Amino acid sequence: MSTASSGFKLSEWLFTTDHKRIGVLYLIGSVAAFAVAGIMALLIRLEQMSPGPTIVSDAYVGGDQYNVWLYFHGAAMILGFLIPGLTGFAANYLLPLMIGAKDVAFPRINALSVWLFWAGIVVALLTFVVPDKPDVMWTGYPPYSIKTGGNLALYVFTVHLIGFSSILASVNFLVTITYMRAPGIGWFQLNMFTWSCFTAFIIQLVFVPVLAAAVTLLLLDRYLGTHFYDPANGGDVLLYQNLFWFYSHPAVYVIFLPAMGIFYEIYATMAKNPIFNYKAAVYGMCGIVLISGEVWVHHLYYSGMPDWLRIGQMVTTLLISVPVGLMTISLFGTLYRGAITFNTPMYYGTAALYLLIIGGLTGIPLAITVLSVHLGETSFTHAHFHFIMGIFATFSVFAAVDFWFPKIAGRMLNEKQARLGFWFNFIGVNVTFWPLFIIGVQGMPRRYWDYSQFPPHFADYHKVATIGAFIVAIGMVLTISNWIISAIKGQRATDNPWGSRSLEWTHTATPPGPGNFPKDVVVEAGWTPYDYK
Amino acid sequence: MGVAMDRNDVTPELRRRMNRAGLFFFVLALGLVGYLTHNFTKEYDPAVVKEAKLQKQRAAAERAEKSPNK
Repeated sequence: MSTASSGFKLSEWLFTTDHKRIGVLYLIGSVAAFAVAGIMALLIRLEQMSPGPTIVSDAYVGGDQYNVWLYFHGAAMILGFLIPGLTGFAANYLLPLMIGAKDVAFPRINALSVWLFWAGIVVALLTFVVPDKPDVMWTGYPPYSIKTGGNLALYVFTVHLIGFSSILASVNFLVTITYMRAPGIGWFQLNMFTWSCFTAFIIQLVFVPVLAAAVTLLLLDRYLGTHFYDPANGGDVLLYQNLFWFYSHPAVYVIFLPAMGIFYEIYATMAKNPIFNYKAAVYGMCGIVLISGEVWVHHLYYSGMPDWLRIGQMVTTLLISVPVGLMTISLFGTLYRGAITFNTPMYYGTAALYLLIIGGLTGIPLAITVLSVHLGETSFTHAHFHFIMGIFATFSVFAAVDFWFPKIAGRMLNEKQARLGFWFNFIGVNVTFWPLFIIGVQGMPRRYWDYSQFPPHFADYHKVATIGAFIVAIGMVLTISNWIISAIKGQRATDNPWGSRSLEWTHTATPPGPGNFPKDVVVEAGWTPYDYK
Repeated sequence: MGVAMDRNDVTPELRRRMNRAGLFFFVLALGLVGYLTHNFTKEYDPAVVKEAKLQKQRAAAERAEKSPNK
């Protein structure tokens, strides 16, 4: 099949309403945020090479500088990279193709979403221009955020812009999946990635408004003299923590679900197997939607609250491992007796299982109140959420780009460089985070820039972790430079290089032209995107 | 705006249904923001706000009184 290509025009990209181009714009923005967040991570790790000031100017301002790096790393990774990389880039590019639609339900609103996202990225980057840099982590907890000299408005406006973008995207894709499936595609014939996004967008639609309200009140407290979160004046400081995590824990699933969806697609295609226990996995996703709003308290076990709430939420936190378990078994099972092709997307897929198991198992003690009191504020937690959320989801974005790269760019990636990048990434993250698990159990607190009051051997572990971070940095450079170089001069791709049965491979050109499909898609009775038998 | 807007796959009836559903979801989201913000505003005691403002004014007046530039 041939592709309509008429050269590069910037204005056509900036003002596009084509979901595929919007997806690529999301990818560019999120990778930009990722790059800066990565630099912040290296600064954080360099500072922790030794107790006391290492690269910060001096002991007096060290904490302030370190807090700015922590703020930008956290906010940019979650709000700027992971959520937009999965629900912006991957969902935009793939969902209409997977359901046989020519575009999304509201293309102009889709364009507005990506503009708002880019505006959010620009506002976040202003951090490096203003003298009063935000230093409130990605959480923005009062009373510190209200009293600090750092610029809270940049944080709040970034959340507003990217949050509003997320709400609009949720509306758009929920309607698109509900109403624009090609004739013949029923709910249980959808791709797993489509299901994962559908459930993630429900969570996003319901919970993002809570965060928007929470940070709006924070803004009013800081700049207009209200006292919603000020206990000295009739407010409640814990109100913010509850509201923040009421959104932010479900946000973990907004990231986790599409990441799993991507791995399902890769597993089925590379193993040439149908999804094992498809319906159970779909019910698992729906179960996560139902329970995700009932687990936020495990982020604030140490705060004042009635015991029945603490215990109840410990149970629901453990309970959510049931639907996650259903999904994991289904993912494992998809490989069973498959003719597995091991290429870079599948490397990331295999690594994902390992990350899922280590990240999941280390989450269990953190869900249990009595253990969480000891481990919750240590670098054990830091390593846990990097395994299950940071690295697992980052690898899913990398896997998605590598897997769908031939469709997006019309060219093949340099497989050797992609594999080399994978090994640097995989080895690097393990070298970085295993030492943090170990010293976390021994009492190394999270978020401390200076740990000179703790046992001196912690410094050795931090040094190893820092070396790991630089190994990851090499892997990231290899991976991202491969995308750019291969997009320009990679080998030309065929329409379906992996032999997938999914519509985006079987029914479209490479890359897909305007309108996606040369003719209207109608699928036969009994069709599924995993018809490999 | 590009070719994506020239569509023959969306009938007027489907467009109406999609618009209705989109509006429902959007209003749901905005309604949640409004409800939460309003709810917290209600819980907030206006008498305490008044007192806090008075305290601030008193503190400012005291500072002005003690200022050497006076």
